[in-house]
Amino acid sequence: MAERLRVATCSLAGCFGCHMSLLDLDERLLGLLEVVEFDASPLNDLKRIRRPADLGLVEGGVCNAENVRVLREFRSHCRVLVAVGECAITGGIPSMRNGFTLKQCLEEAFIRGQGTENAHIPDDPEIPLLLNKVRPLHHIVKVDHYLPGCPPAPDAFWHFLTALVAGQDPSLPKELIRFD
Amino acid sequence: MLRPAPVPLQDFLEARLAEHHRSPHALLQILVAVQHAFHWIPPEAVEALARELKLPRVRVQGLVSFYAFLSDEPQGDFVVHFSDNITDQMQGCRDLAARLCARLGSELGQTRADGLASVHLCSCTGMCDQGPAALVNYLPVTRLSPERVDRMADLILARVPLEDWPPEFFRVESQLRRSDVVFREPLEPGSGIRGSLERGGEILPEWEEDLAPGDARRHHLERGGAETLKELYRSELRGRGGAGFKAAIKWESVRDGKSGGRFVLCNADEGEPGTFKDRFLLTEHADTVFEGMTVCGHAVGSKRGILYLRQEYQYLREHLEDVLRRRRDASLLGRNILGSGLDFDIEIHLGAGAYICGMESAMIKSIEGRRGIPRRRWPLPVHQGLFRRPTVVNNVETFACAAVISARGGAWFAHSGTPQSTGTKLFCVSGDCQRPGIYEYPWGISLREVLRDSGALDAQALQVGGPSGLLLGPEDYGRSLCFEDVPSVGTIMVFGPQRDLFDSAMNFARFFRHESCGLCTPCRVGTTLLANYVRKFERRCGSPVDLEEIRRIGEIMRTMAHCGLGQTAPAHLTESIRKFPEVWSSRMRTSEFVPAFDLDWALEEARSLTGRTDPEAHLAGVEVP
Repeated sequence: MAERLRVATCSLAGCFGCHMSLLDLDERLLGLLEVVEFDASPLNDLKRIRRPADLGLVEGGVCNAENVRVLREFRSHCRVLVAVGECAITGGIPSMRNGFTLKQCLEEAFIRGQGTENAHIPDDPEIPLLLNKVRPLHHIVKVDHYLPGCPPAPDAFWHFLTALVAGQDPSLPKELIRFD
Repeated sequence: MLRPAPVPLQDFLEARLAEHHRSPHALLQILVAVQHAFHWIPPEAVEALARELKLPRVRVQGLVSFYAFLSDEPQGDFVVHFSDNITDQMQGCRDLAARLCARLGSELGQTRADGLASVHLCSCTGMCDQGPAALVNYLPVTRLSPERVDRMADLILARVPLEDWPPEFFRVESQLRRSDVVFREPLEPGSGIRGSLERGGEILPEWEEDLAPGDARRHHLERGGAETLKELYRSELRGRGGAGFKAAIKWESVRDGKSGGRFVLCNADEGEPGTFKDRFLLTEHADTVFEGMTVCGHAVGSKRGILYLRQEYQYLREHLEDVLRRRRDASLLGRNILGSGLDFDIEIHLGAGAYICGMESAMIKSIEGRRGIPRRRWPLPVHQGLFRRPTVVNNVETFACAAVISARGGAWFAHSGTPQSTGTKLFCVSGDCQRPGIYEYPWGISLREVLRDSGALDAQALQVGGPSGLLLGPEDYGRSLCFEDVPSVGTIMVFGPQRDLFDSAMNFARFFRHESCGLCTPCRVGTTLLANYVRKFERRCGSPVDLEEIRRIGEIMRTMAHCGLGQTAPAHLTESIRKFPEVWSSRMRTSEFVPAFDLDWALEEARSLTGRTDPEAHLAGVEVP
């Protein structure tokens, strides 16, 4: 059997909906695993990329320092990096906070929120610090491909991955990026 | 204290509404009048106009937000707009604007707290040959220098009314540096329309017998118009607005179109930065321009002409109205022109600051009193133009040429120029040259000859045809200005050897971002993305990846944008990257992608909110100025 395509995936400021859509390939996943092997991914609970991967699928935008670190790790370990879904491509729903200052957001949630007790902005070093604005991936690193959709359809993943495995142009056909 | 209103707002509005017969199409004209009188559009005016013209309030607000010279916030008693074209910028307009702000104690883009003055930047005001320039209360002030700006500050601080400012501040020179056969001698007023009427031949007695009363004369007019159209075909005149479409084909389509209210529109929305030939024509050859419109009215069977005058040139309005009045008195305009039975009159519509309105279908919308948003390409204005009637839209210079053709003949006109670009062309040379101004040459002249005449042979680059045109380097100076080689609206902006071409890229990218009408996504989003990428290079954070993105976005805009604005907006950038790669490579940090902002800086707000200083509260990255 030929060398399988090594794929790493992660979810940054996303909702895991894109990963769910990938799982929605259902029985096609079995066929996919013939040609693809997963490195670090929430699907197998491996946290770090163990050896250089061919492909990194990144869901979600970049909202905090931890996201930046993970994204940089993916960029340096993945030959091809893909922004998967609305949030990774534009910032998506999390970036709706960009119209406010971080102070306004945190005070609304932790100081003035209804039923708040012991009101203070969390400062535990274990909690990643928030960036002042939520960013799409391509503001932080070079992105090679974009898989649009909220989430991208299972067929979009299928088309993209099989084309890449076959060494073809993975651009999606019009039906898969038409949403109206 | 805000500007004391000359009359109460309600009275003012009532007078304007009456003047325009409460036509909703006059909305923009009324708003311009309100802006001039009150220096803003108060909410009460929006309410009143919506009510009186029976329009939704958002229609009125939509206009105020669309046009640059209408404001929904009170402006000062003195409103200063510094022209921010690249030629003005090279002459120091930004420093002068800052200097004025400092002297007035105000901020750029803001109104001073006591309502004395507001200072803004605006797109090109068409004074590039005598810049840096500004508009003070919508009147041009030219040849700004630090001394002149200081004097302006003194006058503003002393609240001296504009009428008492030194008249030389407002002097706009024509700066005709070279003339050729078409515009050397002013055309004798009336000779164009006389020529056109005479082509109808004599009214023969047998017509009078054969035809119903009055029809003989109509027949004579028809024949004259048809012959003039043939004369225009003979001249092979191509439109002077940039696209170069054959004028006669346009005219004939309108002539053949459905009758009953055809229109003749003269496009004097000379918004292409660096262009000022229409300013020259409307100043020195206004009669010829109106004559050409009248000839067109005769040839296509239209009774109504409209000159769409850009806001920046509204200082010419009085002069133009005088010329129109004189022509009416001389029976060259109005009812029964020269006793021929021909009726044709011209009115002037003002723009309110929108580059896009130079695009014919956007201009038509604007005259109809709407936002100047281009409509679908089809049906063409010649079939369904203003108020869905067949409409000729031509440039100021095209009409002036048409008048000369009617007077002197198409063959005479076609004698100069090249086979596919007949006649002469007015070129506007500005920027780093010794003799900026207007140059009339026969089409086909080489760029080098223009540069020699204007004293700019050491130019490192030229922007020909404005920001939407071509960026040319020394290897192109042997090329010819004509539709066969380098087509152009006539604009030549010269960048001398001392200039950083990056400044023009930044200026043009911002210009298009500001002027995009917002209708289609490729242009609305594309112009903003391009300006952001250029800004990234300005901060010296660029990389080859970003250049590739500029090219990719540019290609999407070129092929997908709704109108010419979006299609041509990326051209300067992509050409600059191709022809002057060092301008861009010198602004790259590394060959690797870097963010446009400092990531550690992006954590600063959270650090200060949480008081954290641990290593996890920082991100390594490239420092960005």
